[in-house]
Amino acid sequence: MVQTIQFTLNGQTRTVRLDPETPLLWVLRDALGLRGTKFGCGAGHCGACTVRLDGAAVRSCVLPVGAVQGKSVQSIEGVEHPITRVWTEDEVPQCGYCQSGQIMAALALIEANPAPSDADIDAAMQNLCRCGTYNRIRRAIRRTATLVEPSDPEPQGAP
Amino acid sequence: MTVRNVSRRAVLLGLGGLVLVPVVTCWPEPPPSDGPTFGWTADGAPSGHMFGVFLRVATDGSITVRLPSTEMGQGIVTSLPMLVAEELGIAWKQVRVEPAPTHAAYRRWTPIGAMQVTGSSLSIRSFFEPMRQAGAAARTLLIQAAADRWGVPTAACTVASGIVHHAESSRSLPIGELVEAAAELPVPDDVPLKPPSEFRLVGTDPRRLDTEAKCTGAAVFGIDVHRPGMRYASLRQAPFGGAVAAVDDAAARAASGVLDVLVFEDFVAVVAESTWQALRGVELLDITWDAGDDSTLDDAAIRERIVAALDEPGRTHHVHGDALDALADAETVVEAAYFVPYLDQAGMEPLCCTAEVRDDRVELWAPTQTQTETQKYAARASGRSKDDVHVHTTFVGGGFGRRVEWDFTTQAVRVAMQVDGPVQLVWSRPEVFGHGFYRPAVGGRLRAAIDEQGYPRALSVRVAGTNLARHYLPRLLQGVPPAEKVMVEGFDTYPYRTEHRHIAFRHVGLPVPTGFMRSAGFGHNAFFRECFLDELAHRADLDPVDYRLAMLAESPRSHRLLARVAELASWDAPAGRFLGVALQESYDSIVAMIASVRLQGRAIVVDDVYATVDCGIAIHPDNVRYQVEGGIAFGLCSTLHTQINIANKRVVQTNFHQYPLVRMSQMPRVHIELLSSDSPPGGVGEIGVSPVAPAVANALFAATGERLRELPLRPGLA
Repeated sequence: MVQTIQFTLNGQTRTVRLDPETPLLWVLRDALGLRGTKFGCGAGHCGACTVRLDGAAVRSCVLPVGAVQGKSVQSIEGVEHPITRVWTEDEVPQCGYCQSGQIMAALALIEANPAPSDADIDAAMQNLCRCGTYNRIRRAIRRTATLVEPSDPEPQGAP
Repeated sequence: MTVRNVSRRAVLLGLGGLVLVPVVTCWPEPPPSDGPTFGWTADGAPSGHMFGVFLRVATDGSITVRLPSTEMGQGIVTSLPMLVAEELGIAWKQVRVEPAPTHAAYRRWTPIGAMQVTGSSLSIRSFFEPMRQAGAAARTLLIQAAADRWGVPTAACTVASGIVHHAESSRSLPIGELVEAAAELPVPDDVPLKPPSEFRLVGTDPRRLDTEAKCTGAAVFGIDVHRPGMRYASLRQAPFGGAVAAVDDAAARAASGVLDVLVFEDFVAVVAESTWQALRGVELLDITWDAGDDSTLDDAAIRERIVAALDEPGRTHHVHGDALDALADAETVVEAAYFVPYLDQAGMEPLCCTAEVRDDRVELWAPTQTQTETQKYAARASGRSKDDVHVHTTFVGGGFGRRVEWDFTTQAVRVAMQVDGPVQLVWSRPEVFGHGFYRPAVGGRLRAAIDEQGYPRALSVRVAGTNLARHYLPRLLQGVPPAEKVMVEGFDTYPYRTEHRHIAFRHVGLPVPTGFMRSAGFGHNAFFRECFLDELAHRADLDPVDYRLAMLAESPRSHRLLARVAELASWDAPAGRFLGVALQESYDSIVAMIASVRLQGRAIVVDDVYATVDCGIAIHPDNVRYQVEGGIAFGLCSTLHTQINIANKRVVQTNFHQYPLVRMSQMPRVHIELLSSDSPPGGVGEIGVSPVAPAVANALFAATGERLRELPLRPGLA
């Protein structure tokens, strides 16, 4: 059974006609030819498939494409953000396979929480990395956060 | 382990040092380029001239290095071209790289023959000289071409940043303008290499060539290959030693997008229009398996066989003095037995391969560590000659030894033979966990005769388990001792002063397939050895670092590393921390490591890991430290959490929820120091792994007084 699903992907409107149960991961990779988002486990355990849905990090291998109807999706191909330069300068990747998902999860964290603590990073960054790049990921997140910190909010307790 | 150096002349002639050849005066025809697969190298058809088999110089002055090794995160896509660039005298930004085609010219010597394979941390050791010679030869010819043009002696010319200079007359030419002329010159007879003291690029940390592509999603892994008209396939495989008995494919065939169901003796594949439809299609198959022999095999039975094998003498691999006699006569003998379970390499990219079988050629695009074997078995499966089989190597999402196998690539060819056009075979993660070539389950029994000061005068070691190297060798060689050496490695490079040593291995035949996993035999033997030494130290009431240092007087490199890591970790002033130490030489490099741990309930928390590393010349020091850091994370998984269990001859683990890798929150702070030495470069990719388990186990003993002799460590459950 097919359905027409329209959503925004990396700022552009996309329309697909297929089984709404198809995981978004495979719509991105096979239907739309965007292969930066990776398949690691197919069951939501590893995070290699992480994209952003209305800003939040989601695991696209267990997200049916029908659920993104009318919503906004960002994949690694749509990232235009200092995080890419920081990640490159800090030489974070080793094999690189998990890194798209790591960057998407990191971006979701930083945009929701511009000054994440180590505990915030631990909680948000559950993506697996077999090569062990975790410490550099953490450093890159902290460095990116310093580059994009918003201006100070109103002082608390002002009269 | 010595690595046979490929002779310079033979390299230039692309024969890999296998034969002596007469001098020739023209470049031989190099294997044709298969074009860049990485998705980020220079666009368009390769231009310029090949200078030997590793190097092409273009008329715009850029160079393209042919990478004879697979890049899987260990960094050789950068460090091997650095060697060429160093000798050639060009700027780093002029360097491009492409994977080498599958060809005899790119083979290296391994303990199991000459192969084009990436493993055993051999890349730098195999290509340190050949890559430098390639760069130096091209430099010599480019200088000759300039000198000829200017009518000056070659000795008066130099190359820097891709420009040839004649200082005396202030003339210079970019190498791009000299390429055509240089390519016509006779192959140079004598090519001097720079002494390491003159290195200007080697030993620095230029931006790695694959970093940017891996940060933008542009890097092409095996699963990202796309060919026009490509179909997709997935599969389910028979149990170990079993077969497909019957298949009901009605539901699969009725599913949307499914094009075909292919039944083989050892697996059933679904071909579909998309990966998702193929993955779903195999789940809809109703398959009856013939389980084969030993179908009730489980962990308990496996352990029983391994432990029983420790009672058998096995085959002796190393003898120094007479340990068995010394032990028989000794007043004090200490004995301990250890055990480690099966492990899966668990790279993040599932096994996959794209294949196309046409009348004129067979083509594969694979995230493979072994081009030679992939080509050989693809040729066999398709009934073609190897010359007609072209293997293109992509980036690899984690190799760790699993992609040294050729099961997934041969399957892709067998499927492609029944499909019109190219097909990409992708395994599900449960298939990857369930059909591995696992690090074997291994038992170790160590016995030491202790002298009056508490030091081991004699050491007898028995190791038992499935010989992981067995299936790489023809049946003829399977009983031959060198094939078992991998199972006792770590006891052969023994730095401590122990006069009498006897090391034996007993192979245990089991239906669970085994193979190489990052650190191979060092992985289990470092755990056995460094834990046992710690037990002896504590038994003698001696500090574990001092105990080892006292036995390392004749091993200055190890002594220096151990003394320094103790300083780094403030070993003498633990201040409430619980520390454990381990030392291991592997792949011609040495690592000393200290872990700092504590318990949170029953959970072991590793706060810090300190490591000192001697890898001889470090080509890209930042990458060396990062590889050791990655090895620490890798080793920590099997130290704390992961194992592969067997029940009814099947693997219990199906996905990462049952095989919990270390996460960010569990990653320790890492402090790594490279201590340089004059030794030739050693391996780097695997050396951080094997010291982790003993360092952590020894630290745990310091914390709790509980001595654990099995992995993963389970405090409080003994």
